[in-house]
Amino acid sequence: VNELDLIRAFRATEGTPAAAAGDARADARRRLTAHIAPPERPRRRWLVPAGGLAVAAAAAVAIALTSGVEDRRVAPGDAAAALNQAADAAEQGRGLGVLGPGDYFYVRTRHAYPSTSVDGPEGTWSIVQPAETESWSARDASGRQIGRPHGRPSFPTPRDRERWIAAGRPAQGVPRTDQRVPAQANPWYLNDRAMSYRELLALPTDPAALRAHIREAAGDSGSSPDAETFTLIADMLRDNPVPSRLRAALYRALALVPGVTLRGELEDRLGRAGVGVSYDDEDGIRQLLIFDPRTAAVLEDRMTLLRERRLLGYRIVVDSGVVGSVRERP
Amino acid sequence: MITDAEAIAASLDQGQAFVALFDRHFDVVQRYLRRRLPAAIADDLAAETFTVAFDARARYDLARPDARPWLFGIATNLLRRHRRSELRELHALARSGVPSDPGTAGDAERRLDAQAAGPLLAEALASLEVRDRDALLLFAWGELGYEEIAGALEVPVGTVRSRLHRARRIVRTRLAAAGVLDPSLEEVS
Repeated sequence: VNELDLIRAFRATEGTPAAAAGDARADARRRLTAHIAPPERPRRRWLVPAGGLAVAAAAAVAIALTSGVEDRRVAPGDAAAALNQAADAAEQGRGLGVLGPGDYFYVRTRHAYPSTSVDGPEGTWSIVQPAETESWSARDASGRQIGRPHGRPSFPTPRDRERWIAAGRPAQGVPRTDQRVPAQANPWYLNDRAMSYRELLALPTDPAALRAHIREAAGDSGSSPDAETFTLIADMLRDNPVPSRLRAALYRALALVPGVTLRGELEDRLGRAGVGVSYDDEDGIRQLLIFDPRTAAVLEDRMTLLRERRLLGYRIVVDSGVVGSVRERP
Repeated sequence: MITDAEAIAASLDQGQAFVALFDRHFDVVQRYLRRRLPAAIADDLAAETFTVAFDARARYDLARPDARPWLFGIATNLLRRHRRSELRELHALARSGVPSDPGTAGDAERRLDAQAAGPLLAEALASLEVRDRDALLLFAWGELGYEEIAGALEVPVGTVRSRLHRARRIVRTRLAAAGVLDPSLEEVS
């Protein structure tokens, strides 16, 4: 027996076709045939850019939620100034501190992404079901997670809605959950690098060193190292328990990424005032981060397919803070 | 029977010809993804692999009769979106149990089987660089050869060889350290 034999036997049962796998096969086959010959409206062909398959695939199921692109023409402004202002605010201690024992990092987000089509009696439809999640995480990520649909689903065309109604208005996309989360040794992630809370705290706080570190962690993910650096920094700022010094360094590191552009003063989806910075990647997708430069809080991030002016998805941070138990909210 | 390349060429005019590729290869792609990800995500990605492949078919190199490496390459690209899910799953498996104590087990049980080694393997796989893990699992689970992995990942064969070698060495070292494998075992490459 060598390591390869053990690996070959590992998770072998997951790979054997079960009854459920047969259903999945039939679903997948229907998805492909519908994709090859769209029943009604021919889908505009998305040109697959080299190396951008994953992104193109996400884009191929894009649904217009609302007009996604900010129409306002912004003068090319100094993104760095706005980002550094947020960094200053974080350094003045207006953000999260270091989590102590018994502390929970609480974050409530709302998000929507288009879901894949489903087959009903009158054919395939697409649906966008907005959802809300709440999570409580201690330093070892133990805590609680709640997920629920939030608001009514929306549909790209009236036909999609008709088919969904014909199928009996099935609930989709977001299961209602309320579960305990167990402790983990390395629960915090920078791309695929798992970190303990201690390691998270030990990330460089020199902006250039931090940017270099994140860029290295980006590897070949995303459409380019700079695009992925933008994504990873937005992820960290949005839903990781990042204390003020690191938060400041993340904003300053983002200010060093070439191509980051100031979009000016923007309101997020909840009508809160903030400042937007964006990065347009090679696949024609704009990542937009809206933050409050006075508090260093992230308000919303969204992705837009520029060519088709379609919003691909968004995530709003409704509320976040530190609490003392999984039943408390800030 | 026509080759995959011929089916793809035919699908440029007649899209439905592409379904032949699905019928031939869906099961292996699905099995591979199900071993790497939670079933629901894996099934979704398996389906998506073929719709993405269909959209990209004009760029397929028709000199390659077998489309499996290309399909596994697309599946691997899609998988990158879910690396965090994969790692969470592996970390959960790593915590799910410890191998039985070889000191108290009988002869038959002393040979730790794959099930008992599972948590250690999960930990070892999670510790690999993503490129090394991709190469190793395309080899062990996707049952692709070196040349085919090179085609799937669009890297030279020498690179595949070194990634596989490194990945296997890391896994072997970790298992040996835990007493699951005999460290004196000859290196197999």
